[in-house]
Amino acid sequence: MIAEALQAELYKLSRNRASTFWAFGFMPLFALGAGLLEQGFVHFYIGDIIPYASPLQDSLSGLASFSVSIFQICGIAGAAIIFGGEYRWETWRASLTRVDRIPAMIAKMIAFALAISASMILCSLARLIVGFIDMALTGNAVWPEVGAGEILLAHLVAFAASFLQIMVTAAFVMLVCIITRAMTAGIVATVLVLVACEIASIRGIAGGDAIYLLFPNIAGDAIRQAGQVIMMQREGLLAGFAPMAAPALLVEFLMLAGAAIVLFVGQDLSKE
Amino acid sequence: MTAALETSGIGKTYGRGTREVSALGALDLSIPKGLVYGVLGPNGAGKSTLLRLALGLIKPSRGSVRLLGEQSIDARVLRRVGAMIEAPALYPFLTARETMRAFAHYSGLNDPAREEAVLARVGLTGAADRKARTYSMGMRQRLALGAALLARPELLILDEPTNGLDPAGIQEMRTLIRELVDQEGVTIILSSHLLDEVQKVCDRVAFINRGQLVSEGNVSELVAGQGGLFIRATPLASAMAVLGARGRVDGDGIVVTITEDAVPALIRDLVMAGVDVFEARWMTQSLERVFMSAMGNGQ
Repeated sequence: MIAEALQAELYKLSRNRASTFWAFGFMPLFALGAGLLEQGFVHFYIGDIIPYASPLQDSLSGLASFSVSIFQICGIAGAAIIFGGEYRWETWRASLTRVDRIPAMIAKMIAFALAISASMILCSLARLIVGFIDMALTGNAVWPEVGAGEILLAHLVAFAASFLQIMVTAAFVMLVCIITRAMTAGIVATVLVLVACEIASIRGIAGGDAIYLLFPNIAGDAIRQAGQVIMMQREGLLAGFAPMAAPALLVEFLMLAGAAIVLFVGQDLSKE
Repeated sequence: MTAALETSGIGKTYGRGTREVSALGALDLSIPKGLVYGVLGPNGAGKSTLLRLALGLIKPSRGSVRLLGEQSIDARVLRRVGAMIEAPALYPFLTARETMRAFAHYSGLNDPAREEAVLARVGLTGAADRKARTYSMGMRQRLALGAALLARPELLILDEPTNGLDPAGIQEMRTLIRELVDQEGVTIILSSHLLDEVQKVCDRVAFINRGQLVSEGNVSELVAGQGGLFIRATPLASAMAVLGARGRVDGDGIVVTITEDAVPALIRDLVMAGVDVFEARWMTQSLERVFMSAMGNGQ
């Protein structure tokens, strides 16, 4: 039943073109466009401050596109469309007479995971293209002094970090949408909470205290820095916390998503 | 034979303490298969609550419900049911054709020919590639009905199915409902405010008021049992003297409570008593009168 509900979710996403574009397609285009503008401006107007390009480092940073709250807004909007759309269009009564509640919600979570994964990979590719263009402009590039296996592993680690971080955000959106039965509330409340988290966790950026791993942005940074250590042998203040950060994000995701599903299963849909 | 829908002391209450509102009292209802069953009642009577309870969209505060003989309302049984509750539930960004495909995915169906056939049946083939948000209320109603029919349901639950339809659309809906029941053996439970339409299409009805079952029965029996004779005659006093307690003055005539086969003898008695009879016609009671009478009793 999850597979059938997932098919329906992906079909709806593919047909809801404008919303899907802004939620999942805009960020890769923004990463490409902004990167090209930046490179062009630096090369032709300011002059090459750093006289070499780092395409693989760029692609690694592309995977962190959704790590900051302001850039998570697209993903948050996507999550709100997926989890809150049925309340807005009052369509739960049509879909839940065909599929049970838990499979319906799990399918929505998988649909979001697939869409945001594609978006993150495209962001990484966009940044890679920018890196190659930078290389063409500067005529010089530096490459990691590690093998292909480490490069791939570093990208996988960075992907996992950003993926877990945005999935925690998505689970929060899901919970808010179910409690409030409103798509907009899912967006507004989540953005405010993420900004508050970033402000509250500023001291955590310096590392030194594992308690800050409770903030998804710090936990995500810790794992991403571990990826940079693998590929570029560059030390990160938080990299040492990575083994604790991944379980922290996973537990937060499971708690938020679990609470959302429990609430949804018992929710009266007398009026969506 | 299992009932299409069976409720046992089912009730639904919203809120707590002083804010507690009872949407449905302890309702016992058994709706047999193979007919069109109307659930009637004024606004707020509990009709939609009953239908949402039947579909598992809301949980009962007390009592139980069995749908197609199943106590547990899950997708396994719901996939044998088509439903259209309150306003049409449609994705505004999907066309009619895409709506059919999306709901087919949800139902685990892969039969594009069936999707096209259903669109044709509800008269939307010509507008199948227009987005639902551009549809009129009547078209949305047709599309929602099509979505409900998609999986060839055994039971169809329709809440106000003629909302937004023009007179021709209402007639088409009536024909479609009768075809589904008479030719395909589908059971239909519907709620409506259009009592004339209900009388034309339903086999059996239940009157609900303030969350309680007020009355229930076959439409033909409810209507036949409430018939009467209307007489316009002079002098009125002489006529009333013959009729006694059977007569009730209604405007410029008299309504007589009497069985149809006793009418000739009554008219003979009136003539013998010197009453001039100008008009005598048998009145078939409308469901609306039965409804008003039942609601009056339920107040």
